[in-house]
Amino acid sequence: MSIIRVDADRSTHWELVSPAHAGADAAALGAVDVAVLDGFAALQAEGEPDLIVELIDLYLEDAPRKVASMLEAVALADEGALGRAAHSLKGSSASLGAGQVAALCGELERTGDDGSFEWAGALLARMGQELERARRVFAAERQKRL
Amino acid sequence: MRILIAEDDAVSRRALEAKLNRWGHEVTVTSDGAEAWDVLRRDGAPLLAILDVEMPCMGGIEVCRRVRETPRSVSPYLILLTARSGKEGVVLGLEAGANDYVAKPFDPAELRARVNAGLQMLGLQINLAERVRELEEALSQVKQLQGLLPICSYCKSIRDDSNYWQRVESYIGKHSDVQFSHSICPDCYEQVVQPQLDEMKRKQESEQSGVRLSD
Repeated sequence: MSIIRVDADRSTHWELVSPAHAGADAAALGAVDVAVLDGFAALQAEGEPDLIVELIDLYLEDAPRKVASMLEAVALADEGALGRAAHSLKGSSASLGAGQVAALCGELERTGDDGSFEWAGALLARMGQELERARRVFAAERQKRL
Repeated sequence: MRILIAEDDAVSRRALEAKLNRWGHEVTVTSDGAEAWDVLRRDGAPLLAILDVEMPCMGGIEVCRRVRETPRSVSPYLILLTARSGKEGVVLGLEAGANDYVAKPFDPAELRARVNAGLQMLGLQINLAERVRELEEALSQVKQLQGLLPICSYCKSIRDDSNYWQRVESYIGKHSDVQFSHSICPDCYEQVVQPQLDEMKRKQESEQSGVRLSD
């Protein structure tokens, strides 16, 4: 398995703590609606790098940064920052079919809205797990296209 | 048509760019409002812009406000990308000068229809601006005769602004795009030309009779 690691400088990384998965395992199935991802194939321009791989890479690069922002926002009880980071990750997750991550981001966005951080920690922990499941699917889809 | 997009989320931005490219549009990509405004304020900027409401530095609503404060012959068509629950953003955006909005996550078919509606509107505006330009150019070439013309009661010459008397056709030719082709009206033919012809004929006949007498 792998985890999201947040360093002292608040930079966030995905860290593999066991051998890398070659494909999405059964536990990760359903984390991403692959049909949504496949929908982008129609937009592929001839002679250009694979668009789906490009989108996956952008997502995998950006998502840990957004999680770090959310963790920081919760630590500082900054509802505005939590709402903005959650809103942004919700959009990109929904765009690529990571529905569970998007839904949890939606909940975190609302948590930030009413100023109550009671559930934010638990939601972030669940989101870390969902994000990891999504990452495994994305990694497998990426591998298929290379 | 060139379209500007302003979206801070890298995934959404790239996905939007790919869609617009696929639909045949050239895309100028920006990642926040300040960058978008920097492009839109210039001459020759894209006439259609898709702006996310929530962006760092400057949001889409502020970009709309600034664009509308800048007079243009063809006003850019502005579409806001809003949160589905963000009705407040929609109202503020439309009040700030946005033409339309699409709630995120958007349905590609809906976005395409709204972009096409915008392009149609821009096409009408561009045609209208072109017609106005043509009319203004035509008007600048039109010479008009206006005011009081001093005209001689006898010879009908006209006194111009420099106090010179000119023949009617010369004056009108100078002050309008009219050209003259000379002819004779029936009244003048009867009163002037016919008597002259009669006189000529009479002279000719008397000359001929004089010649015959001398023979």
